[in-house]
Amino acid sequence: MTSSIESPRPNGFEAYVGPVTRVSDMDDTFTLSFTIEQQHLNGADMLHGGMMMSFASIVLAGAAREAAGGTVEALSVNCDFTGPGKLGDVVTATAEITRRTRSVVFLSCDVEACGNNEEDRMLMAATGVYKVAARD
Amino acid sequence: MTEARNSLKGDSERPALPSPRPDQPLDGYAPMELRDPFEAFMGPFYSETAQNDGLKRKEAFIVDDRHVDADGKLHPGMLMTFADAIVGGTAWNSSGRRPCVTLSMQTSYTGIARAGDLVIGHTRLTRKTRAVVFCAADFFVGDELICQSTSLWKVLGEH
Repeated sequence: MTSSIESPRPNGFEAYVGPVTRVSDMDDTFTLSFTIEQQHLNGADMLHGGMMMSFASIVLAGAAREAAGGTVEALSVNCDFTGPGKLGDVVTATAEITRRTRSVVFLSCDVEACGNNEEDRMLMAATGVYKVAARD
Repeated sequence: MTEARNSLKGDSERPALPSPRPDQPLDGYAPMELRDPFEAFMGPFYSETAQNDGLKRKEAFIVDDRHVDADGKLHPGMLMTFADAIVGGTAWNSSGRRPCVTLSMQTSYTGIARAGDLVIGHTRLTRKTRAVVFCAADFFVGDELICQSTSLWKVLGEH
């Protein structure tokens, strides 16, 4: 079951590079997904690293926001690229909160891709440090 | 993985792609030919017209409504996309135009930008070994540093 990512106001960048949808799970995890389309590709017809990092930052920010219960701002993001994605793949990432303090959220997500009749492939490992800007 | 382009000489195997927004006149800069669909999608990007060694360069983009979050601030994803696009050029130029792929990129966010701001990226080579290229890039709006990035690139075919 999927639903559009919930956002209090229209979000230019996330809407433009998407659609990015939330995958609802039984255990209340924060998982987002998108399907690789033509505009997401690089010159070698693979998923562009910038789009991989963009998707990871959307996952990290969204999960950090939920964990913090308020607006968050990225302080640092690190991305390690492990494998390529291709047109038509469904790309998914589930955020894991490493630690949450009153002012900072530490978290990570693994970006994975799945094509038709294939096993999941690991595309990228991302970690992030987000500042809690204001509570709702 | 991201394949770097030779941003100095241009890759003549594929056509340059148009961006959804028009090129704007920018003193000291010219629009780049973008051959990666995602870069054209997020562009236009501009490179400095002044002579440089291909390793230490400046590139720029103008923030518009496609690049900002719900609060009107430049989205980190756009900065990472721009960084990946322009630093790849340095990696490619340092490896003698052998294709490079991004292994790792780290970005720190020290300031914000909004729609209409001109973001200038200063790219440089930190170190080149036979198989791995280390690069860095700093991003400014005016005099304010808004983002720092470091990255590692793998030269394809080298170990």
